[in-house]
Amino acid sequence: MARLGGIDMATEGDVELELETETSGPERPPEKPRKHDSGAADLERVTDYAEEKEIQSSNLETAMSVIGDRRSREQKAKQEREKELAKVTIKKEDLELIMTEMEISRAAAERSLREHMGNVVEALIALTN
Amino acid sequence: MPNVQLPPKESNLFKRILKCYEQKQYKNGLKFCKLILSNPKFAEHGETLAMKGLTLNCLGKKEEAYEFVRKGLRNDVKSHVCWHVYGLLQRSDKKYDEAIKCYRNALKLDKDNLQILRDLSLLQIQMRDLEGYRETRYQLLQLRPTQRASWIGYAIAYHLLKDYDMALKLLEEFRQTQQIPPNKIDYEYSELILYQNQVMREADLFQESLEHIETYEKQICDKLLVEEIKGEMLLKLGRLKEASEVFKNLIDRNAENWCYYEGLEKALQLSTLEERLQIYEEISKQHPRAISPRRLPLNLVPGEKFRELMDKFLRVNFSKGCPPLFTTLKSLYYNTEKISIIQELVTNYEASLKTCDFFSPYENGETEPPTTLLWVQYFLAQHFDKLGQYSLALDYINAAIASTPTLIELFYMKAKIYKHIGNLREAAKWMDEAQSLDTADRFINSKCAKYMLRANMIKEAEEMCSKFTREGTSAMENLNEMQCMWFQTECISAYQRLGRYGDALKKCHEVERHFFEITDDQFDFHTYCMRKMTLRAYVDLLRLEDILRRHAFYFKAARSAIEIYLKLYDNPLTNESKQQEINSENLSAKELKKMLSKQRRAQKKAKLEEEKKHVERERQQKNQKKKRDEEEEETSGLKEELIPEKLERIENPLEEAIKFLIPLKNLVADNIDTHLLAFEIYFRKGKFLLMLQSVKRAFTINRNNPWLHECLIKFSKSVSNHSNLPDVVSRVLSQEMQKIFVNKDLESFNEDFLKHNATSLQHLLSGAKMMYFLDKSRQEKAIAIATRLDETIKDKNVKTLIKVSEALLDGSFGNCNSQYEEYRMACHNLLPFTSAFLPAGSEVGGHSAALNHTANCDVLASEI
Repeated sequence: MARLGGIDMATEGDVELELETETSGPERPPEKPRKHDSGAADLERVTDYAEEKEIQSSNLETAMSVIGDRRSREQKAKQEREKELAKVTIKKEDLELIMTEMEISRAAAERSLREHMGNVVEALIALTN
Repeated sequence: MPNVQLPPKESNLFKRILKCYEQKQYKNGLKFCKLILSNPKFAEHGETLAMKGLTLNCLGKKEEAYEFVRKGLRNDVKSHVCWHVYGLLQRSDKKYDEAIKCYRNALKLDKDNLQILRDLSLLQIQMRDLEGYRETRYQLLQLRPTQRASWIGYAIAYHLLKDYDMALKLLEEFRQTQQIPPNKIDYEYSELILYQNQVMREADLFQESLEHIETYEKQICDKLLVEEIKGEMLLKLGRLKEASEVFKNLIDRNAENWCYYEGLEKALQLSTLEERLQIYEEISKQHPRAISPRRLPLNLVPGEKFRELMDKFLRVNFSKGCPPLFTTLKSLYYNTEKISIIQELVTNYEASLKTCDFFSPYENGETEPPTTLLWVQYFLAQHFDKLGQYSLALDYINAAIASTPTLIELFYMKAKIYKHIGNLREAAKWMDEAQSLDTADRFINSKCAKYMLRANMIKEAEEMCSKFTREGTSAMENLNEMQCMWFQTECISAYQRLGRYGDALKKCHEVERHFFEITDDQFDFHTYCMRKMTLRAYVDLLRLEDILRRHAFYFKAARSAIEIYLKLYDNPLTNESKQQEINSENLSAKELKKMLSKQRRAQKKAKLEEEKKHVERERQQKNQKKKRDEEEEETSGLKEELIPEKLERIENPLEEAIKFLIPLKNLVADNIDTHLLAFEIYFRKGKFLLMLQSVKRAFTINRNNPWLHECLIKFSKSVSNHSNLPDVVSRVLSQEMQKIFVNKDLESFNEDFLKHNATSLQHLLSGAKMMYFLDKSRQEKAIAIATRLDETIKDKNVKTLIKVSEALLDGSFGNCNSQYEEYRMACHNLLPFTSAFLPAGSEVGGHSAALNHTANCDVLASEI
């Protein structure tokens, strides 16, 4: 079960919320006599609500900028690859043939065909390896 | 309908609804929803309706939930809350792709909504969309750089994508923010350090890893792991002297871990055998009760030294009375010299102990207790069983039983010997004897059930298991609930042998569902593990789930399912099949009518009983449900009931088979059977390139595999018979098949195969089958090859001989009943105890080859 909040709970200040500070809510039933229930209760608690822990650090800026740099490089490399592949011309009937004969998705068939420069025989040989 | 803004009072209530949902206080949540919706001005407020639906879903009221959520969404289609809620609903029904679409819609309306991004990331990691996960995690990090989980999640994304540099940078940044003082020990911090170190080791940064562990070792809770990592890294860095110190310390901690000895050997790099033995001798002196320093040298030494060490080892353990002694030594049984030395030593002990109470007649000192002889005889039974000398094995085990008729291990072994001989009924009988000696022992109870299943005694097996399963439900149901897959896979095989395909398929699907559930169960741990910082365990979990269906249980279930679907494709069952299966040739019309009406009555009776049981079970379940709290969440994903009759009359068996095949192709591609099963399916579907893929992959694993050989010939024949294939396909086929067949015609290809494998019965069988397949006029010659039993044949064992006889019966060689009889008699002479070769009518049960089974076997049996 996921947390839901249109508003972030931790930071809103203007609205009064009567937060029940004892986290085990009033509706939890009294301790039942222990039965052999294969740990079901413990498993339930895995999805209990818990506040996210915060870091006490002011100097995150350098770290963030390093990350930012790296990301833009990654994006660029990816775009280059996609551009290269998009240049290759492929035939529709080749694509359909690969999809029927090898029972793979359109996306996978297309990728394979492009990676083999549109040569359907080569693509199929590679796919049957 | 335009979105109505809630005034402060209602807005407050709405926030409380959200909080209640988070805290799992559903009844309260519904109350607050009612407060808002009962006000006529807000009765159609989209977001409230959606939240009501979501809360109802958590209370198990699925249909109402969907109604309300959809209504809410319709009323307020621009609300990200509504889309978010709809996504959550889909997710709880395991419709993950739909859920992702909903979340993305929600994000379009509220780009930086933290909660939606979090939920999206969970789905992405669940579906292993690693690149998407990394993107989402980046957004989360940008929005909340002060939250722990943001950093951890982002680091894990890079780790899983194998980008170790980035992962380590992030982890190091994060570690620095933790500011734990060096003298404080904090479990979460310890786990973080260990995770960081694991990433370093995966990145092959051995030097860094070693420095890292040495820097932080005081703060790591798992001290043993620290030493093990140090040892491993020192080895990898070639610092052998230090490594040897570490491993010596580890052996001091635990002298039974073989890995430490391996590490020590690698570190010391001793060249002569004497030096190596010296090390084991020293360790044994320091740890006199440890077995490993005495056992491991036996792997290393040959000849006379082996005899000397083995003699010592055996005597100590026989005197002490060590039941798993044979199991400990079993791994030596690949070496014929060692086997004969062991045999000589132990048979001499036995002869000597029978006459005087010493291991050899030339000794004096303390006599051996009578139990020593017992353990020696037990060992010999296991020894000869391993070597295939079954009657000798039986002699020894019976001698042991005669002296000690209350020892469970003896009956367990006797049952095993009969299993190897091929008399499964007898085996089950002796296993039953074993379990009756200790009915509180669940292990032997389970073994007994398993042996019964091997003997096709399904009802008896269920009864045996019911001694330990929960009261109130049938054993079958409870074992399914408990995901007891060993039992289910054995049932599958039993049903398969009996021809009860529907029942078998039901169990196959049950096993598949367990695997689905196990995969699904990881969902909640994506947030939980990151919060608790148990990152190593978390990554291990992810990696386990990635290869989950590699497990043998899945393979067994999938293989059986595919085999059955192939059979059903070849011989589909129709509603009339039940009547046709009855051997009506020998009965007159009157007798047939009588039998059919009897059958119908029996079926009715069985059905009534089944219904009664069903009603009783339902009543019990209803009672149990009432007891449960209303708050409990019902397990989502209403599973369709599995009905055997429906399953075995499925419309598209090949498609069902492919569903089981795909995980095997992805995860068990190194097992040749995966590809051969794939071939059989694609062969029937007429997919030539997929057939090609299957044989190519199988060929790379083992080109001489008998089943593969049959597939290759069928494949080639089929290709030549189909002249109208598309041009592209033909070109690919001819180019690739050239590499396998190398221009040979099929007859020569087969002849070569037979010549190359002239001493292997398994291969001869396949070659002979193909000889007949290619040319029916050569039937005699083919059968003669398959039924060879001369001295040169190396694998004349129970399994293979049964395979040959089954082939003679199933039409692989056409009509050949007289040859089958001849063969059966010859096999019986070779293996007098094996049920399958006993003359017809002497022993009921055993392999289905000897019996004409129908699906109504149980019903007909009651008529006799």
